[in-house]
Amino acid sequence: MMEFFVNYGGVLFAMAGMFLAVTMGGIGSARGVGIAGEAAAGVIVEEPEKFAKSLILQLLPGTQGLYGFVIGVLAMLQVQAGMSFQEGFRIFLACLPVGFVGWKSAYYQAKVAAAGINILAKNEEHLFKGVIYAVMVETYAILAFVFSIMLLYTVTI
Amino acid sequence: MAIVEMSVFTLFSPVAKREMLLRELQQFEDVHFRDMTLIEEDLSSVEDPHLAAYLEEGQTRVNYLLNELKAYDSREKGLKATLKGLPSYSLEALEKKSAEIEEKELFEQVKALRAEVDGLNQKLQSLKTTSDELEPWEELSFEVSKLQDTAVTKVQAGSFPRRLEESFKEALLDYPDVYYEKVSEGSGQIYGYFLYLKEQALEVEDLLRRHGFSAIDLEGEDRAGKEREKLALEKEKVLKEKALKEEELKKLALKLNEIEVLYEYYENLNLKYRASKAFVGTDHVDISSGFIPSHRKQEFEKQLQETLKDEYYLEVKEVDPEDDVPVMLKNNALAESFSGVTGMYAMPKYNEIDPTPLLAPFYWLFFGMMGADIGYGILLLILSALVLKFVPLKESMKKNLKFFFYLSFGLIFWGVIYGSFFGGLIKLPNLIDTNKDFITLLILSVGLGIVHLFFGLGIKGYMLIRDKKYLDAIYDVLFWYMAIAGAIVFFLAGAMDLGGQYKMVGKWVMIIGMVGIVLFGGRAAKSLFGRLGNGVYELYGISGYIGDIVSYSRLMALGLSGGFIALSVNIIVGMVIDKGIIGLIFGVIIFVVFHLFNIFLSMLSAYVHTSRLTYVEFFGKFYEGGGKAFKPFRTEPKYIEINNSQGGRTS
Repeated sequence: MMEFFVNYGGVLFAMAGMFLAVTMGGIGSARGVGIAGEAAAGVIVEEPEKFAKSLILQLLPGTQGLYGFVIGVLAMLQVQAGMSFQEGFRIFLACLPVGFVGWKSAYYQAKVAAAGINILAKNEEHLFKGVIYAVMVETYAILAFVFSIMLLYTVTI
Repeated sequence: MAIVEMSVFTLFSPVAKREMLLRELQQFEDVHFRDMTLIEEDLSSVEDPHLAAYLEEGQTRVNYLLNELKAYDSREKGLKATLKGLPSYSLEALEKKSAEIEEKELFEQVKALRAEVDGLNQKLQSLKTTSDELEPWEELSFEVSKLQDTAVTKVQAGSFPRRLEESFKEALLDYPDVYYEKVSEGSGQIYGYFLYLKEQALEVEDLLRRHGFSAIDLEGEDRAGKEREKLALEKEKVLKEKALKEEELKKLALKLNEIEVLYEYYENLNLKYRASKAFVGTDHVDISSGFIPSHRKQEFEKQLQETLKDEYYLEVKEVDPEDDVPVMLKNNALAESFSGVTGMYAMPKYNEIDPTPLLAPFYWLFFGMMGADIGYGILLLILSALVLKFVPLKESMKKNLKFFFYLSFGLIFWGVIYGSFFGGLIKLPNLIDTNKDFITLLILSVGLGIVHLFFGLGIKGYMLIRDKKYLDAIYDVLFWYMAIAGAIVFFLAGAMDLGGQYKMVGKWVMIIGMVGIVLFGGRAAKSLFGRLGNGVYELYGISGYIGDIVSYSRLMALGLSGGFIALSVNIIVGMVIDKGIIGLIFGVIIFVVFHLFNIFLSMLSAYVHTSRLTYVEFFGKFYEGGGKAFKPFRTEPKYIEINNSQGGRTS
């Protein structure tokens, strides 16, 4: 058992990390884009010409999945057969910030985006203020993303 | 300075010349009327009810026409039309042209045609309903009209749910005199008719009801199939008729150009009407008042002299800066393109400072740092330059594009520093390696942040000194400089082991600053304890500075995130591109689509976060805003650009 861990533990943990980064971000974003999309569809019923603008708001919670995916790709480049357990575990941990924050922040951002779609429906001119509110939530996903990058690139054991 | 100096005028003019006066002032443009009904409450407004009614009617008509004819508009749209720009008229030409248009006839024609089309649509709908109703009865082996009651029998056609068929048949066994024939079935329903004796009617109908039977009254003479054919023919006829009417509407829609002229004409009239609503006066004299830019004062006086000859009294005064004076901003072309940033937050008050030229260099720098990429910058540069060159745009759009045109240089500048071209597509030398030098970047971000904050604080100092509040400048600005700069020197000297004297100087400067803040920060309070308490609370604001400074780390974070997304796009493209011709095609598609997406995302984030640093951290130090914008006396063009040889167009 110990021997198995020593031999394969590194790769397994690294893969688990990639898995979490990509899936958690993806799940969060899928949910977020869904929520915002529902709200957007409500506006389009009456005013189909607002489609392009509503799309901006719908897309905003979609970026967390992208961040998770990018971390997954970057982590993948560091995986080698027979890598040490410590190495693998480092990659695993590096993937967690973007995974967790991406998962939850996409949902919170989607709620703001859905509220922003209200602005689109009633006071189109000020739509961009709604976009700004939503992008504010994204700050924390970006911070987690950047921190994941730092963990991937700087910390060496 | 960048806030245009204003004068306030009061004018007494004859009622008879009101129309002429307003027309001339519309040419002059730079007039912002005050609502005199709020200032001179004893006098009544000079509102003209006839004009109001005329305007209301006209606008209703024009809006109706625009709305109804929009669907039949066959003029070219999209890019080609955009490239042509809006047609341009002078005010006189607009009035002359609109007088030529027979709008009432047009309105009646369109209304009548619309009513006919609506009627035909209704007819189509009812034809469809009847036809649909008949469909299940096509298999009925005799004419529909034969389903009729006789002296002793009743007949009822209808449908009931299929799942009740069995129990229904069973129940019918008790009534041997009832004749039932099934005609067809579809979508869970069975269609058929019942023939029963009138004397049993109540019982039978009750039975039918209990089995979910719903009666259908069939219309028509012939057999159902034949009837439907007749209906289809009828439908053809109606459709043809409708097409004819719509053709006529399309012909009328060719006059949309003229209707748009009318629209602008009424908008213009409305502008003058709204201005006159702010006048007060007697039967013969109008009293109006408003603001004009001081530098056009002489021009204004001359214009009135020419228009009103000697029948007027005019008084032009300096404004009181504490009053609610409307604000007009005037900057050079470079700073002007950043005025949207200020406008989005709030116009400055008249006695404040226009922050646009002050925020612009930082905005440029920060935006570039967050989007940093040579390739993205060049793309933005080329796109904005092309659009500016070839597409005629409204003023506001032009300003936005110039804004991005200038910002693209910031992207390129920082792209060079990071050595990033489409996320490392081509290896370039760099000053800062985004793969390694995280700490350098963080220090750089925070350092830029401190400069930004100190600059903001400096502007506050400048404003206080300008207003001759020298002591306030010392208490509210100098002490803060000392406290923060001292603290920075103190901690840096400690952390970097620079030697005792630096640490010492830093410590004492910080302490003097802090004591000053505690002693004088709460000087508005009356009692000594209140004053000290407020002072301590003011000093607590230093925690806000820490938050502000940390906030600038987003400069690093956003630059990195965009860069790494670009990098990973390139990695993926690299994976597929050497897999033969299909790989090449997919590689190119992935490259284009994802880089475009990343550009959109990076620009959006850079825009939003730079704005945030400007609004929250920078403006928080000196800027209040809340002034009201100067509203020039002109309409916003929707369909037609009104060219004005004379107007100032300064805002």
